[in-house]
Amino acid sequence: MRRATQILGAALLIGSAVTLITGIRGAPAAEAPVMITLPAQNTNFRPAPGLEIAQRDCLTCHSAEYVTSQPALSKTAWTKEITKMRAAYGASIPEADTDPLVAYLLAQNPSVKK
Amino acid sequence: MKRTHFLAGSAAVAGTAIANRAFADAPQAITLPFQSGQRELTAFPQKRPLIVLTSRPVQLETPSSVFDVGEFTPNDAFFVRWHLPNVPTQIDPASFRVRVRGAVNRPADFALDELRTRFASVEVNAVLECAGNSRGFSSPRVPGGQWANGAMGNARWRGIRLGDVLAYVQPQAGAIQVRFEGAERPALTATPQFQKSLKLDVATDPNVILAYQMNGADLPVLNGYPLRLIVPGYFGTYRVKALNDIEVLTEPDENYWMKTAYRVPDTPNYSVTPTDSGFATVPLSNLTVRSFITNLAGGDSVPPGPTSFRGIAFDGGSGIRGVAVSSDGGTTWRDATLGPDLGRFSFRRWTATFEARPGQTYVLASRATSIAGEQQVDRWNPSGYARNAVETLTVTVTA
Repeated sequence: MRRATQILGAALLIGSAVTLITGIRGAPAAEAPVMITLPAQNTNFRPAPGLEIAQRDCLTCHSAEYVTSQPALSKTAWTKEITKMRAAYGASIPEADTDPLVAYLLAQNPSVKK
Repeated sequence: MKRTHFLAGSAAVAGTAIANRAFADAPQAITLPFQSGQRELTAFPQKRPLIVLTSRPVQLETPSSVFDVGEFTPNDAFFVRWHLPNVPTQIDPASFRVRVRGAVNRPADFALDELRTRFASVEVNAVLECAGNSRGFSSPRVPGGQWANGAMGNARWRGIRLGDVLAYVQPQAGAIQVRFEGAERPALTATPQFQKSLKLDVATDPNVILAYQMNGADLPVLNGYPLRLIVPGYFGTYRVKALNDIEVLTEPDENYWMKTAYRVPDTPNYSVTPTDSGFATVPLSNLTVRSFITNLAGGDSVPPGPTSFRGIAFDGGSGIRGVAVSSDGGTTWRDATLGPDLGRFSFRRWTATFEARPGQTYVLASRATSIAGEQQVDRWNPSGYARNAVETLTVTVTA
């Protein structure tokens, strides 16, 4: 996709699409601190053998929906995801957990073909 | 129209005001049209109920009906995509600082007010779309955030030009990239901090801004209050939220989020087959051209007679040349009528009609072409990025 860089490059030729707002420079009024409270993270993994391993190894960094929303992935694909969590994101998933965790991830999705 | 039929439980429970309130607090659900598409709808702070992709990191999808309301996506319906589980929840705009450092002659820490008073205020209408928008429709399916089509939105962004800030700090000779980091934090120290980088010539493009408002209001916290990077025409991944650190680099940024993540095959249309391997990859940059029908949903039924359908189109920054529509599944096409041009980075509305005959079924489709000549294509890549296939939806006509 060489065009990609050309498009933004073209911006310089076509000219700026931004509009200069005049007359509003000057100190805005002081703003109050903003505080929000997030809903609790979803921990509802689907029941299947090995559920406690998923609860222990996955919830530190992400909620259960990241697993339950995945399509029917293969054993190879789930193994790759665990490797990625460990290698790319530094997840402390013990090597001994890999096989039972993959088994759980396959079992928790009823759509997976056996 | 019939979109609400996806909502499990609707306002059928009229009852008293108290009962209604209780109902509004109850979780609602939606089923997106792909396997494992069950989602809850939850109102996060400053947001109406949105489709929860994941509660940590917070990732919220905009329901498709919202895109029919106009060119701009309301702030409380705007999608949310953080990468790390800990996002800022308490922000004091008075003590907020953004640091600009690295290979510059005049490093600076700017307060919010200082940014807004020292530099000219500008506005740009621009689409924000997640690189993985529509990933759930990849065939075959791929792992990752399983978005339907709602990881996108269009807003009127107000802020200051990044180029003005960079000119102030004076990049040194040899500066080639600018790296951005926000206030989100990982759960583990071993997780790479979320950082994105732009080439210096992109960073100094006059359309690239540090935005402190969207659609005339402060950014919602979940959309990056008090300041976020807006790179019109580029995928959302570059638009760092709660931005507080800008570093000018003299070497290419090789952090995880640039070197490993958000890359696509260096092939035509970023496309490969599921059995391909060993291909080179490049970082994502510009949005791909897309169009959507917004006033009808698949499975709707319509009365006979002339029937209007309408929607939106956008691309990576050249603007929309035209939108063609079909009511026979793509066998024949005709031009839709384009709505007002709100800028080449914005959603562009379009309208069309078809003659709905009693009892018939119609497969509706839209196909946009950008001014740069780009068209919507079928593509597949292992991360499900940059999808822009022609979408179809089937409607039936009552007898």
